[in-house]
Amino acid sequence: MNRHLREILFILLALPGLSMAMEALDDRELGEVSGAGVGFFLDDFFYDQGSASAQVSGLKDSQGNALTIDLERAYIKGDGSQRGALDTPAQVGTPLHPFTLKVVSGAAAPTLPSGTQALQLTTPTWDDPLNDTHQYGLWSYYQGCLYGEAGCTNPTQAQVAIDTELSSLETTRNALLARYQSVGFLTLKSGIDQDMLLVEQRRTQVSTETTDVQATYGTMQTRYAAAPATADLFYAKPAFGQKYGCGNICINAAARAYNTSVDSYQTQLSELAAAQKALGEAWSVQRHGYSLNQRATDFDEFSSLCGAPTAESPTCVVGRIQKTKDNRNSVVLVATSLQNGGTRVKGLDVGVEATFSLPSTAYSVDGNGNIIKGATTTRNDFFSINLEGFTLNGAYLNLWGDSTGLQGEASLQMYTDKLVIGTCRNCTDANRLVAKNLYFDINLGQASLQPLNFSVLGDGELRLSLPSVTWNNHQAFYQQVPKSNISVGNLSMGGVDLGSQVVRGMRVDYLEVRTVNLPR
Amino acid sequence: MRPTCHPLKPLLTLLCGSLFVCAAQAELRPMADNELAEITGQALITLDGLTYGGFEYTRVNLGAEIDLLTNIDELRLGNYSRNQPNTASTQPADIRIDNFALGRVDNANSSNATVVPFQVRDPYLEFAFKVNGQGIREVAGIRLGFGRARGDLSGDIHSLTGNMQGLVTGSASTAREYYMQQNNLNGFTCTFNFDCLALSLAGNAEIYSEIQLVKNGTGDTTVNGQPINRATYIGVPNGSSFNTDNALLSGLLPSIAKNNGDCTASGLPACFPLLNYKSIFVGDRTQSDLSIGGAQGIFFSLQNQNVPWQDLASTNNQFVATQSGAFANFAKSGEGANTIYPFIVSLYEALNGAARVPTCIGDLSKGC
Repeated sequence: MNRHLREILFILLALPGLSMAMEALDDRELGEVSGAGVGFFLDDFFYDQGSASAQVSGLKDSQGNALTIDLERAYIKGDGSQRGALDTPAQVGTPLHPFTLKVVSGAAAPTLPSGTQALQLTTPTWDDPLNDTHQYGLWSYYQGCLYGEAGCTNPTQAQVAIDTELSSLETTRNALLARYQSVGFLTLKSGIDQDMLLVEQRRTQVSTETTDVQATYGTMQTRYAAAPATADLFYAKPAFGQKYGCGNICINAAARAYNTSVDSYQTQLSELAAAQKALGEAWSVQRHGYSLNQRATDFDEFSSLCGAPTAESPTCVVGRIQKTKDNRNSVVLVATSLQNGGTRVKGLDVGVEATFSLPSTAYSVDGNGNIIKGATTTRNDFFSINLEGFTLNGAYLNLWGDSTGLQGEASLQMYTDKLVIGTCRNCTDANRLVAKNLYFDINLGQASLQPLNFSVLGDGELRLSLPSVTWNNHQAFYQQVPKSNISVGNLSMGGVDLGSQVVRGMRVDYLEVRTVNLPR
Repeated sequence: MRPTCHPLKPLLTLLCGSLFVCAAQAELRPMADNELAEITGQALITLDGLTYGGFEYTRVNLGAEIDLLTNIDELRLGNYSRNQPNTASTQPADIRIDNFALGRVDNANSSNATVVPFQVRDPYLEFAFKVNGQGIREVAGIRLGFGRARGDLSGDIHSLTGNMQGLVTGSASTAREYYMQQNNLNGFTCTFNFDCLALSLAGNAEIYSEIQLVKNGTGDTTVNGQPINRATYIGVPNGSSFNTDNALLSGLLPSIAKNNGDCTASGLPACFPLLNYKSIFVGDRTQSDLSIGGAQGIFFSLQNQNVPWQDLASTNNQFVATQSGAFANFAKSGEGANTIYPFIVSLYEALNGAARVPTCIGDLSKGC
């Protein structure tokens, strides 16, 4: 086994307690601890698995067949290592920008409930736009291409893209403002609220009628199954939904009961149709020249763009337009810094190559054109993952415990210039999946309003939950619980460009996850 | 497991130790031997391999039950320049949905507000591989799917590529009312209009039609044999018609209620803007048990060619044909009376638009 690990340097900062003899703390003492912590960084190191081997086993497929993963080559090196080929030293954090591990409370962790202390882990944090992951990640999405590569040397490309988006949003807003200028948005909302009362009533009616239709349909099914092949000597069993020719005077009780159920079903169907019609009419109620459906849609759209109106001629200082303007400021800052010759602190190159020995079932088309399931054999798949310019700056994790178990809040700020997934040993990126400018801005939980709860159930399964937004906290919740974003500037597979991908402004308002043993 | 090196072991040890310090604030109790003996390894993840049509697949399954309510400002997949004959719109992305939400809130603007979560079972991530003409094995696609899913899906759907199969169902009288309203007819003049008269004869008979993503103006689902992409409309496909189980009308309705390539059927609109469908219900609304009422086979994928993905809703080994780009699959599952559509809308909703269910608590029904 070759090891290439050199100079791991831990710097311990601001840790007065560690210079004394170590003694165990009891629970009471632990509860009183605050303010102490460690800072650390890793400087001038790299790791290369080289020719060493490692194997992961114990995994299975859905049929219970075993599979193995042989890890052939893993490495962690500095940015520019050419996917581990060069022993480029890596640096994670600096003395001025270290990882920190400490117990926090009060102003140091303002989201924590009063009186709560938490164990906090933070990754190196920078404030300048190029090394602030959020700002750079945002810019990189709009930029699309990887800055510095051929054809991607103008950082204001991102600015043009976000200006186009902002312009589109403002055009929509202006059209809505013009449409209801003479009405006023408070008046508009008042009219919607009044008209929605009828909609709610009729929705309830549709729901009731739907249940009735389902019930009568079920009865009709049951009675059809019990109905005879021939009724009263002459009347053959009709198709489902149709009646025996003897109508409601069939002598055969089962046939008569079925015929009655058909009538009941048709009656309920008519009532449902009438209820749906009435609901449709409620949505079509006109005010100011527009149907309720149109007015409600417009009001929602405006609220989404500018926040809920608080005046007849509303401002637009919150909502998606303002958010996009804020984002634009970040994009401009990053673009300007790059234009001025600014550079980012180098990230890491991380990679692993593996071979999967995997049971694989063959499907094929037979002579009749049917797809048939064939034999299961073992497949040996090569698989590689490489990250270039990987950073985790600005992330944090707060953990604390209470009577309900382990609680937390987390913000993952992960950016990488390239994520490359390959399935071939001797090939180029034209044969691989390449995601450029990949940014994960994942925020889970908010200590006061939505603490992340993690527990292990009695049967060994894991449970992860985020409490729901409530009526009592919804205003604070929507202002303070952070949203998440995932974006890819450009994705290509096998040399085919599939453009940018984004999930933007995602907030989990409620989450309950329970793991389940597979196969079920 | 054979030995390997752990260069960051000191750091990990430090971190792990720290985590236990936190947990130490709650009392830890040792487990008895009999309790320990009951614990077995949990197979949270399984991997499946299969081959089909020259493709190799590896699927990572996660065993989980997930309930959630989420609001997403923007979902945009496959955002790249595209101008093919089968590109049905000028939208910039294959899939573009604003104010996307899963789940809903009942009584949203009151103190009785109640979250009704979207349910997901066993999500999975799958890769497709193919050996190209030069003998090099390439990544051909990746998809995220769900074993089962059930609940309200909302959004402003600007464009969609893939399968979105729903069922429009309603009364012929509903269609007649709408037709009369749109054509300024009354009960008397209706009798002189062939379509209106036909719908009158249908009375309250239930009529229904399967609807799919279509090209506006024609109802085409394909162009030059290629499925359309970036659709902005959904409706009765060109050549298809409304149907009925009513014996008296079953022969007549397909002839009068057929989309003949002009996006109308019996004079009624047969193609509807996707933006009108602000909320749809995924799965069977009447079956709260996810095992029965959950829609199967739902996935989002990205691929660089026409990749057939295994249809996990199929009982006869079917595969879902996808095309290069982003793809969403909200296809029906089952056959005949057992068919479960990802969504069912009433004819009124189709004709007038399906209003969005609230997905936020308070004044805002979206964008929170």
